[in-house]
Amino acid sequence: MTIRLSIDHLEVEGFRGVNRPLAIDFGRRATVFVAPNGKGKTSILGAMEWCLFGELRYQERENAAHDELVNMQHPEGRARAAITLSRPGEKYVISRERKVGKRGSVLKVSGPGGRSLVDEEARGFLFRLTGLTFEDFYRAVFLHQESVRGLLLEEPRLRDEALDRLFGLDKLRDVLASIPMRVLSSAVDEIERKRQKLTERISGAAGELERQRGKSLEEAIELGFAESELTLAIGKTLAQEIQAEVLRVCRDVGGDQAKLPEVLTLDDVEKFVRRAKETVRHARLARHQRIPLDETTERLIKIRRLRGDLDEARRHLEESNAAMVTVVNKVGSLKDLETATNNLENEVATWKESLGVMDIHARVVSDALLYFKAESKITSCPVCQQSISASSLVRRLEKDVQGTYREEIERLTQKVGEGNERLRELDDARKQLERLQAKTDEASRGVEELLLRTRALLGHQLKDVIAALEELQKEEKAVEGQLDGLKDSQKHLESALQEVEAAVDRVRSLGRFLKTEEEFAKLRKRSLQDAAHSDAKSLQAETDELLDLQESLESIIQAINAVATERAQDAIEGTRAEISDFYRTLCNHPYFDDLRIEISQRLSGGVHKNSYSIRAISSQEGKSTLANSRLSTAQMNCVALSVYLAQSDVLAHSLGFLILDDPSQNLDTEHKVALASILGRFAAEQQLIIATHDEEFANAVRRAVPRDGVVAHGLEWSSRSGTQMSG
Amino acid sequence: MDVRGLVEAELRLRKAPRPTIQLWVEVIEGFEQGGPEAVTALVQAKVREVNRRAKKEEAEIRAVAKKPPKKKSRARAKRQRELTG
Repeated sequence: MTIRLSIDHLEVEGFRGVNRPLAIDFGRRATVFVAPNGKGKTSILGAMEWCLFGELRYQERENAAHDELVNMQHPEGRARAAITLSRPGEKYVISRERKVGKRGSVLKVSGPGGRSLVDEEARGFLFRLTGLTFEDFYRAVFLHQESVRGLLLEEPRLRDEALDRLFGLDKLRDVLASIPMRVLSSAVDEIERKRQKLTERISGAAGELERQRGKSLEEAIELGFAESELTLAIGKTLAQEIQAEVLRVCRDVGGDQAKLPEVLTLDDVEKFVRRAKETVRHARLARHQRIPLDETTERLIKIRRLRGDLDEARRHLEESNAAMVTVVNKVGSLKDLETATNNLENEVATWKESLGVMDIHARVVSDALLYFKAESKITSCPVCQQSISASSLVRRLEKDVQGTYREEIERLTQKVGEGNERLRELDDARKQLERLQAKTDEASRGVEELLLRTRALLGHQLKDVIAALEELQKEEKAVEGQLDGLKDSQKHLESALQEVEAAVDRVRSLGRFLKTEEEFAKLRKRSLQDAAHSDAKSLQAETDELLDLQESLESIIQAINAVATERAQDAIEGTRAEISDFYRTLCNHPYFDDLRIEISQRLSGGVHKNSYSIRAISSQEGKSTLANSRLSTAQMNCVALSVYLAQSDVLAHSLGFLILDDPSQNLDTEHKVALASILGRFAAEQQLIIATHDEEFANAVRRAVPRDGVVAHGLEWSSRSGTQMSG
Repeated sequence: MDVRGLVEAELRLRKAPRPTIQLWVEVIEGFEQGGPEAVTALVQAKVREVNRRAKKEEAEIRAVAKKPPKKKSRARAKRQRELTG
């Protein structure tokens, strides 16, 4: 049997109600902390719990930093607790420290031989040393005042868990809790749902493929296949024929000698078709380069247009020349017109001069006439002094003015007018001639230009327009002949290419049909309805595997439950006498004088687990009832203490002490004495650490435990120094 | 006898098949080595493995059982005609 560890010494500083360093030595059998409420008893017990596990079960977390642990008055803002555990030949010092504002704490374990471990290593070592989890500590070592109530009054799930732990089924319970049956159920449901969807999909796709197959078959038959010919072998033969034809066409067009992929499998058919189509497209492009149909057509169009333009220009030139000749015949040439115009201008100038002289004469005569009419008695000329007769002179002058001068002036005036009119006519004729000349020149230039273009097009010298027109006509006929030849050649190649294309289409149609057939065959293999094939059922293997896994885990759970029930039954049976004894001693109920714990199975989180009910029994009348429905709070405390104390050494662990925080709450004097007597029995084998405010209970414990092994500590508290030992 | 042996004996008593006993050994070894999380992870890994294969097979089936192409809606076909004339 393993010797358990006892607690020798505790040092606390800056932890909750404890501020200044506090060192406590523990008694060999029992240590009792007696102090009124609020003096730091629970802080001391909590320091032990925190030191071992780094957390407090009944401490509500206020925030992530969890600063409630560190005493606010501590000068360094630091909490520290150190426990010394020992058994013969071994001594361990476990210390934990935490600073205010920091999230974690630092754990150190010092063992025999100066071995020292920190944090994760220390935590693992501590677990192996004590054999306790944090939860187990509460069920097997630390009877917290909250835990006493929790054992009986909390919700069934927690009570069942607590009792499971008391019965040493913690491992089985943890294994049970860790098996994710819900995950498995969800996975099974999910895979079933997928199977259903896939079945529907396969069914739909089968219909679609059937339709496609029918369509492909129809298309293939339209392209000249018999149904029996729709094989890959035929496809291969056709592909070889196409290859030969493609080579021939490529040779004809002078393009690259295309090598089409060989058809060996169905997948090759699609590649072959794609490549063949591409080759045909390239052959068409090469054909355009080889047969210059467009260039020839363009040349023909040029020749026709040039011939038309030249003919038109020639006609315009001829018309202009004819018009010119007509006008020249009518008015003479430009030179004639110029000469005539010059002559006429000279004559008109002479006439104008004569007219001016006549005008001066006429004025002089008129003035003389006026003079002599006024001086009718004059007898000699005032100029030459010659003797004159004024009256006869007036008559003669009047005759000259009225007759000779007037007639001459009128004649000259008429001649000038006619001359000017003639000059205008000559000018108009000149202008007309100049216009015609310009037009003729322009037509001539047009003809020259077209002749140049014609020369450039035909590539040799031309005699004149007529010769050019004849040459152009000859060239047009030659190009027309050439074009017809090219068209024939193109038609021939196009026909060959179309034949290749038609053959490729046939192969494609064949490939489509065979592909559909293949897909249809694959689908048939996957079809759920077709059980003839080994892999016929979609996701069936996976579904079966998950179902097997589920079934196996359910078997394991059932086996665990059976073992757990059996173990719990054994634990209850094994401690039945003690429970009854403790209950009778503690409770001393006048009617219900015994306790019985019944086990059943309850479904929790998808897994069946042990469920417990504690029944109070009347031995005399053989009746029973649920304990929590009939017993008072104090009596229920007695029930909880009975079960807890009877089971406290069931868990296999290494801590040889029992911590009880205010176990006498709600108990009267008689019950306190009874509890102390039971604890006295425990003190023979385990160290007791009891915190109580109850002097009466403390005294009862002192009396019940052998005096030499009991240490009692009084506590006092001040805001400055926190909890301190009194006295 | 420890928990492992007890449950194994119970499984044998119930004539559990060999794979179930093997699974229990895996579960308890996982628990002892890595705690409850290891057991959960073990089962989840097995489920994941099956799901992975199921996904692969599902993909194969989906590749074979292709969905028919969606038909153009009348409105879309009309728009297409309007665009292309």
